[in-house]
Amino acid sequence: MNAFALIRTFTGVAVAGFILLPVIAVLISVSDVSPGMLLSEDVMAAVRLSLFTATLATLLIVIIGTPVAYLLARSSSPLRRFLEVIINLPMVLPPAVAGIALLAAFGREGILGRYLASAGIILPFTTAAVVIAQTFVALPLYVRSARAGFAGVSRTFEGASYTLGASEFTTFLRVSLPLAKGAIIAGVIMSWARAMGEFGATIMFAGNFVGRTQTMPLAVYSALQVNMGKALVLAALLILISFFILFAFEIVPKRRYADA
Amino acid sequence: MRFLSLLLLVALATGCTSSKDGITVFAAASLTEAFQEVANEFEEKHGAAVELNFAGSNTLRVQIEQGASADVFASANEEHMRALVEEGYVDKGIAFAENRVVVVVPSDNPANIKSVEDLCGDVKLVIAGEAVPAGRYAREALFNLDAIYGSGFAEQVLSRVVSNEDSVRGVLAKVALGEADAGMVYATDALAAGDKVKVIELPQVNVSPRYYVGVLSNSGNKELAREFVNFLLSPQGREILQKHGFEVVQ
Repeated sequence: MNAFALIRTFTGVAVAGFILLPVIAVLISVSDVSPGMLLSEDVMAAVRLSLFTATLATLLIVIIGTPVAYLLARSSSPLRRFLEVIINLPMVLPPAVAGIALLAAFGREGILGRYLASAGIILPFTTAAVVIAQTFVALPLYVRSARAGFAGVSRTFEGASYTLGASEFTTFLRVSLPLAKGAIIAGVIMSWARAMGEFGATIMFAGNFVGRTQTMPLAVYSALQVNMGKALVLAALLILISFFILFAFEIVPKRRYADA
Repeated sequence: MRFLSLLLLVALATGCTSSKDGITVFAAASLTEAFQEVANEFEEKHGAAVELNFAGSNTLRVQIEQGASADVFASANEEHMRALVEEGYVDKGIAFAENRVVVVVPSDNPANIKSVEDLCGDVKLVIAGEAVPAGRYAREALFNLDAIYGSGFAEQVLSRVVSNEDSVRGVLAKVALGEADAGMVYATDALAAGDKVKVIELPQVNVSPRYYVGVLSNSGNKELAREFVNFLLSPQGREILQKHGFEVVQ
């Protein structure tokens, strides 16, 4: 083995160890925790709330993100790049900044929120605020993936559809969408995972209340201050969920691409 | 596996070094401004660096139990200090200051709260979590008020809680931003927030939050840590605490 190959192997092992060690440490420590903890009221409330809000946020993301992704892939307008930067922004914003920004916009004293409040809609401290925070941070992941998918669809297929008399919408639905399916599914999985993991923006914008705004990451944080066992159980659950999401991410798109 | 344990050892070893010419002070979030000033004065006097870490006392306690390296711990209640002394992490806890629980509302008082009794109405109330001293004192104070407003008062007020914040400063921020209608914090926090909040006093002095300070048993610089505690208890330290609204314990 030459030196370069040795370095490569060593780094590979070291990096894998660096990531695996904390993960395994959680799973080992959690084996000491009584299984009753898993079924405790607030752990279950957090799991239910997280699954519900992340799924709802992902649904919203697909509904508003798909047309935007298609626009980004097809538009040649100079505004496109600008739009792209804006949509990617939440991905690089520190979550706490996202939280402050959401409060400044949609909080009761926020620039839009004060009008909502006078109409009787107060978002902070509600489950809706959790969904908004998750949508805000996870949207770019979906749009990026779907955009790449649409960009990969050859315009000749769409052109052929038009010559056969299909409308733009029918073409989008019957040609572009199915061909970009793999990338769209990948985007759904990644944004759902990001929504599940959202913490900073949620705790700032939605607060921390069991069953209403305390998602799994918030519950881990709260439990850590009181009960290490409960925090470990929740952490282990999140690790398992993340693992299965990534696992799905690894198999699903490949199969879809294969039959496309 | 041996390789991994070696990595872990290296990581632990480097994580435990503490600097010789300075100390790290873990202090309850409500002590933020007071301790910043105490630390500044102490640094000037001793030419030593003081690093401050503020959080809910319960968070700090867990951090210490999990091996965080600190030299001084200042808790907002006796319970967390006593636990750390019993577990051997802290040599001895000394009471040094007292505080008061008050209700704060945003300066424009959106829910028009005039007295503690108004907390029963349709208000968005924010308090600290049950494990945070400020959260515990707030609940205790409300239950004590049952004697005045009738049984069930505390339960009803607690049903208005929309968020359990992880420190008293989280509560203060939500009120100062105007997102919550009311919050329960220490009198000193209300003072620190200035005119962003209005204070409503509880009808009777029914809980006395007490602060405790102690030197950590495994401190790498016990001498300097003790000097910091002595400085805090000195007339100069007491004066700073009083300036920030604390009652000093004689």
